[in-house]
Amino acid sequence: MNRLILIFCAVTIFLSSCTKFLEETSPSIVIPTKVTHYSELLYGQGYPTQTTGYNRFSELITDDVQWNHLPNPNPLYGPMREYTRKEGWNVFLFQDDPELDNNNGTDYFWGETYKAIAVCNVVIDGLTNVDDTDERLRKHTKGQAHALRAMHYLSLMNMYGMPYVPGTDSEWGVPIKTSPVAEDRLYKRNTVHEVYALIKADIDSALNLIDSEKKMKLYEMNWYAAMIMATRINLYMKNYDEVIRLGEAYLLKKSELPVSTATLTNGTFMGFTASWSGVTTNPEVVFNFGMSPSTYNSVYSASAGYDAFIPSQSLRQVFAKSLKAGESDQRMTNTTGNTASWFFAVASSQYAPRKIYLNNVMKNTLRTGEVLLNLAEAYAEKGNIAKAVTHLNYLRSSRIRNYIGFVPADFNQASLIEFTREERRRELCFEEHRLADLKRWGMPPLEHQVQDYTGKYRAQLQQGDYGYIFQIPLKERQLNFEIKPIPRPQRVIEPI
Amino acid sequence: MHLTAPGKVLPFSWRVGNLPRKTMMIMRLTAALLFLTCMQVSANSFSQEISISRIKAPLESVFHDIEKQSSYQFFYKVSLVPQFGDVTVNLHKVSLQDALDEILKDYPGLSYLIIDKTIVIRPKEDNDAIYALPEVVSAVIDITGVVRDKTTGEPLAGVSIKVRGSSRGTMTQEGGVFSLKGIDENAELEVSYIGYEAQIVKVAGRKEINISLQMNNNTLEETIVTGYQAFTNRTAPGVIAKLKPQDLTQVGAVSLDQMLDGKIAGMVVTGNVGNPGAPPKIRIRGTSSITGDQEPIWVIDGVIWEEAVPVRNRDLATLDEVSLLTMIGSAVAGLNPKDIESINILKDAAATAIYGVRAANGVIVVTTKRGHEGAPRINYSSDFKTSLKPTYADFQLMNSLERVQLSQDIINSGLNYPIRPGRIGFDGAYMDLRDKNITQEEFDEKIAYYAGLNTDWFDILFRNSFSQNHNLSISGGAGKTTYYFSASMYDEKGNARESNLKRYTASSRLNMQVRNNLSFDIKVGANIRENKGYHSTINPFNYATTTSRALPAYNPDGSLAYYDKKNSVELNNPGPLEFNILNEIAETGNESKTREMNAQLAVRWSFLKHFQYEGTAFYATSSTNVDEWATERSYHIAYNYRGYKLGLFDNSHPNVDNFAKIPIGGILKPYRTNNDNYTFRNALTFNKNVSKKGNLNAMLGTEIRSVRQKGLTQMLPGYFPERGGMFTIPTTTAYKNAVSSRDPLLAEPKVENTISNFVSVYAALIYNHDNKYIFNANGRFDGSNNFGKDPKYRYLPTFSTAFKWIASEENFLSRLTENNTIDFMALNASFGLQGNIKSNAYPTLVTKVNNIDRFGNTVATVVSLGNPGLRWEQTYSYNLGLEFGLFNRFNFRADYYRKNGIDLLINKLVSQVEGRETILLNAGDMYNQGIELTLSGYVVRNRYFTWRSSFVGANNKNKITKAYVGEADLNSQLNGSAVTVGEALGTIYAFQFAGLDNQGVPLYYTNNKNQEIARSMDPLDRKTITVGSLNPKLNGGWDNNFRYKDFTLVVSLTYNLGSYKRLPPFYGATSPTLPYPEQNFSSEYLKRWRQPGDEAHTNIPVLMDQATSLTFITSGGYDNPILIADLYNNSDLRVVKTNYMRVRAINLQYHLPAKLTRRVGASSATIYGSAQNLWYITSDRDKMNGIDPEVIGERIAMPLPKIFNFGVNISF
Repeated sequence: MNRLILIFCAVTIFLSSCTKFLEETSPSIVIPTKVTHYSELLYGQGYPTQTTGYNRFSELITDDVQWNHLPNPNPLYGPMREYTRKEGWNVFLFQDDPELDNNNGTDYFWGETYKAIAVCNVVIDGLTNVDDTDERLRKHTKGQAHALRAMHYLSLMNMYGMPYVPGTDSEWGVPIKTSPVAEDRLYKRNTVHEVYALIKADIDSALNLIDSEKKMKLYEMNWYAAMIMATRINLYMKNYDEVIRLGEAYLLKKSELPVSTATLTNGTFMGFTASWSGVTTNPEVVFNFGMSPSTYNSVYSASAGYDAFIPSQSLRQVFAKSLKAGESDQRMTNTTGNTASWFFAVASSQYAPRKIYLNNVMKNTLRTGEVLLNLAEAYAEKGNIAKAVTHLNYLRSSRIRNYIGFVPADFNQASLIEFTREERRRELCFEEHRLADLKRWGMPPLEHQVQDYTGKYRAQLQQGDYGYIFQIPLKERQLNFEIKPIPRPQRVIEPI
Repeated sequence: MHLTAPGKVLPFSWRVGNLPRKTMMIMRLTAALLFLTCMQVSANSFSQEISISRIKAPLESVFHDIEKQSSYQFFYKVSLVPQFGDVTVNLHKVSLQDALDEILKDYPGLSYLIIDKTIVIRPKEDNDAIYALPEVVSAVIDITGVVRDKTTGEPLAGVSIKVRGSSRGTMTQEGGVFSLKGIDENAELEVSYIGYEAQIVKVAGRKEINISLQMNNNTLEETIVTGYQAFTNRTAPGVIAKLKPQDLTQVGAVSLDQMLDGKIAGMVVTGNVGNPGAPPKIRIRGTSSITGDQEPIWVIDGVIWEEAVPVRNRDLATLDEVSLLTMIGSAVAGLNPKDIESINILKDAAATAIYGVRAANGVIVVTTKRGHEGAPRINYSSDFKTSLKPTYADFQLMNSLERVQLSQDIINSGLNYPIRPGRIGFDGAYMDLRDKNITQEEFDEKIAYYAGLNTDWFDILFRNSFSQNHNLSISGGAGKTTYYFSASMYDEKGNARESNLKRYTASSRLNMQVRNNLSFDIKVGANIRENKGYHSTINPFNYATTTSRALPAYNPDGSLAYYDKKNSVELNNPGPLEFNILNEIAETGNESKTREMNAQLAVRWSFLKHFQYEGTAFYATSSTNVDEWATERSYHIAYNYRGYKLGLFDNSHPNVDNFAKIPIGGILKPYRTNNDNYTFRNALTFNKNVSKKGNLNAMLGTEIRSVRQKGLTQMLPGYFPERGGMFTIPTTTAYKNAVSSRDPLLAEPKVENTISNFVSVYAALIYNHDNKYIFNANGRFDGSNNFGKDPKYRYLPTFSTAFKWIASEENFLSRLTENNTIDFMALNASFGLQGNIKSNAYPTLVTKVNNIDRFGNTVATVVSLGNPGLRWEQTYSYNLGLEFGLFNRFNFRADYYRKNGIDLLINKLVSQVEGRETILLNAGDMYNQGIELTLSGYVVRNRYFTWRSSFVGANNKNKITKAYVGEADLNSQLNGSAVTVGEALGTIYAFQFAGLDNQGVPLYYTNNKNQEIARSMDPLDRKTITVGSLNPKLNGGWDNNFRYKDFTLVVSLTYNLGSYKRLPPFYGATSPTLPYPEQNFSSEYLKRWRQPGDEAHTNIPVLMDQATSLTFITSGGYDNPILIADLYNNSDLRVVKTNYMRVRAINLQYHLPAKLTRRVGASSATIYGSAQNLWYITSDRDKMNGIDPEVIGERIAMPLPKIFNFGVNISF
């Protein structure tokens, strides 16, 4: 009997140690409990990576792009890449459901962005009551997640939503999800004001939480980047005073621009050399993100002699338009007066936007230049011509050789607003700004033309056309019939 | 250790006799004492001071106490035992001698004598000396006799007669006669014969012995093992089917899992694709989970063996996992089938509940051999196998003339390729003619050459393979210690020339009954498996069936003939790429080596009369190395990593830096994995006759298991295997770019590290009343660390209850049972609730540590976002069974089962706003129900000829009754993974073909009201019809065993009814592209539509290219039409009903006459020959195009080869 008792004692002891045995997790799989677990996760999947690079199509709906038909294409490759045409034309010609004819069939941008939002959501939730001593890092990481979530919702709105109009709400927003857990339900579009309220709240929280003293890392969301996003968001929401407040605060801490000499060679302006480290040579870049997949080239292809999308003539003209005699804009023409420049490359006698042309680098940056433009626009809208001109001169003096510049007397408010918009187009082309800008500036009429060996065709957008807004992917609408499709009209493609 | 006990027999007799064979006697006794002394060395030595206090205890038990307290053993003859009565003693720390004196003082007839460490108890009158023990010896006599059938009285030949406890034995001859010379007159004979109840006959001095054998109902008394418990078939409460090695007729199969097809009612084994080592898919009683684990678990001698590649749902396995599975094999790949004693398949909840959550898919329990008492028995067997390669006769493929003609037709009809074809074969010659590189005469000459080429790719890539298997085992036992050793060597050459599997196994087992109440079972095994296969980019079968026969493998001068394969503009490859399959095979490879070791110790200890403790400790470790490599001379490297053929550019050429990720050398892709797992189990059993007729058996156990897996995957560029495995790491810009952009072709090294821990508590209770009513209840709690910190998810109870009524024990049936009309009849019913898990379903946020990125930041990624609603899947199982045995000849068992799966996990496609494509929801209910039937018995059984037949059949009906997942998408409908209420899981859908139109374009029925029949349709208003399920409605097998004298013939059939499978795609690509010059096409194309009017008699569409096919469908006015290829490939035309019956194996065996075998010193010998997969009939043979119905839907659809075996089995 003694032995029996002994056995049962042993069993009891053994069972009581079970809890620990079962708690152990496998080394490579972690149930997050520490701030670092969350910061690693946020870094891993909370950033805009555009792994599948669909957002490239946002430029195709603007006036910055034109179709270039080569009369004598490279005989080895045939007249054009089939998929360039298939993927690009339907967007470019404002078709009602452009992604349906895409080879991949799916608009990845939608899903990938919501995946990153989901990660921001779990990080924000997890860091609300995590048991960790590093309070400073906890706040900072949580702030980063808020800032990133604001960015994600803003880019969703730029693709799939109507612009923000103060005082007038619109039903054409995107669905909001902030809950960290799975909910098996359908999502309606939230209104534009609801989404912007979230974006605004997120960026405000971010500015409160992010550690502004922390050493800036280019590839991590930081205080400067959050500030730039904050000026942009407020600009989109027409809170001009707030733009000015934030923008000036930013410039107090960071105003350095690259000097307008040959220190930056062709293509290195944005840091877009073949390696990421080039970004560090530009003092105005504060955040580098995104990924430029090689498939970008398939649309803006300039290397192989295909028919391709290239920077439009109207964009190129807008550069020349602003110059005074003797000035040379290095963004458009390089130091030696060639057409290859900071922003544009020429290959196989076609222009190519350098900002998205190089492979294997993180394509997107946030930089001081945008702050200056946001400020200039805000001041112009407020009628403070002098301030606006100061900021524009400061920016342009670092872009243009032999810069002469403007004085406030050169403008009235209307012409100044017009000029700041053009400057914005010049400076921020191919950085996914143009579509958002066109939308918030009233969705002007637009015409696109294409040509192949069968002939020439065109399609048009009317003023305020729904064609400015991307359709939420069919894949989403098939599962989530609460999503109201944008009434993009069936667009006629007329032969010319 | 007791040397004697009432009713038990000493290893040698010791009794009063009168033949003075003194010397022999002394030798025997000395040997015995010597033996005891030796044994004593290992026994514990206690103080020699004896303390005993017993009141009216049996004398034997007092002896036993002394044995325990001293290092002495008692030794006495059986005949003394009746003199032993009860004794009352009270001794405190006295010497041994005093103790013995005290105890024996009440026994005037007995005295004792101490020799070394043995206390001999003997009658007083033998007091003179130890030498006065002549009675130990018994007489040696010669006996003869006849063995007859008890009922018919017919003499039986071939009956085995063994002298118990020795290796002596014989077989009865014609007329049932036997003779044995020089055996002990008190010997006992073990008489056994297939189909008859074994008997033990005491010689008792008789010189002539006539024995009558009773035919048995062989299976009823067999032991059924669940791994934790053992029953007889008669009393087992759950549904357990038993197989013995001789039932596994597929003699050539390498591993156990491949041999189970068609043997057990309700068990479906599929995907047995004839690849050496590739594990099949096993389903017991249908598929019980949709996304969770589906495979049964393997239990070897009571311990769960883990899968080497943890893929528990093979339907959802990735291609990489499938390739690893093929290379490494299943959990039991390392088990030598010859070591198997029996296999028990646990089917219903009553049988499996004790295994807890992982057992919802059934449990396969394997018991391995152990030694038996007696002299060493040596068994050697070898098996030689040849397997026939596939030939063109098995497939409908074009010959070279037809293929050249097709090229001509394509050129004549002006169709275009989307990518310019290479200058290959006939088409190349045509291009040369067009470009005026060659003259018309040269062209004609070339046509004649290509049209007559008829390259036999099957012959080039396949072989009639030869394999061999050798197995040696030695077993035996001295006293209560038995041993079993075995070693085996298996070498299988696959039909594909490069595939080869070698396996070496060794195992040993020692069973020791240390005391009457204490025994040990020690088992150690090791095996090594070497598998050689093809690089994952090469599939020889696919190549042979898709490559044009008008393409040479060799040039006329005997050198390898290369062709330019896919100089694809899409890849920006700067130069041509040369391909020859033989070069590719020679320059690439895939090898795996697995080493496994396991050790198991079980101890069984009975105490306090009714208790038994059983402890098991098991540890297994395995390491697997898989090396996949390709040299710089391979097309794989040229195409994916270099971009041009070797040597095209000088290393200083800019193309090298710009395009070549790996300019020199090839690539080595090693995969290393280590798997360690251990199990500790404690079980306490209480067994007591609680009333006069009632027996209660209760068991309580705990188990902990831990599985640790460590894996390393790498991709090493610049590999030179021919230079001793040197590496030249590339430095080109293309390489750097590929690395910095994380090109998947150059994936970073990855270590995979997981630990799964399980803790379980289980209990079982069996109450048996008079062997008539048996009640059983089992329960188990499982906990695992997979579910994180929240204990709410950790434990899930599993329980079952069963009742069995053995009607044949009832008095009112006694009249039928006594005359053996019915020898057994029982009804049973069981109910159980079981949980099932999906191994990687987490309710909380779980992340995975990832690589540090190129900026030096630590990165983690999501494994699972929070999903707090997740619960266990539950399966409620019901079983109702009836079994009976008739006339001592036939057994019948029928079971009705129903398994209701509740809260099954389904991946529901959700709004992407969720941040994931799918959410795992407990959203499905599904049931499986069916009837299983097993019929077996002797159709004919007489003196010379027996015919034993066993038929198993089971039907299964699967239906999804609830699926909260919305409408299934097109893809899952087409591939059979759609979850649709009212349909079975595995239902495949098809577009409804409506004939060809007058342009030869296929038409389909649509849901569009304006256009009921159209060339295409929109995915939104598509129309699909259900065709049927991938799973059979009815399947099983029919085994026939014929024995005539010393010949045994086994014919095994398997059948499968009511399943549907899709034919391999007619169009290889998503849009109908034309066959490229290097591709072959199905000869179905010969019957294609050529001119208006043909649509009346053919369903094969007109030849079209990508552009024309797009024109055909866009003319339908759809925005986003389903392409012609997708429609045609997935139409009801391309679905076949895979009803078939296959002669799985025919096996002829000859048992050599004893006269012959004795001459070579063997005790028995058997030779056999067998043929497998000889023939099948199928209902849709025309449509199958020569493809084997059993493998038609598999990823590597190689037909099951015809296999011939020859082997011998000799025992010494």
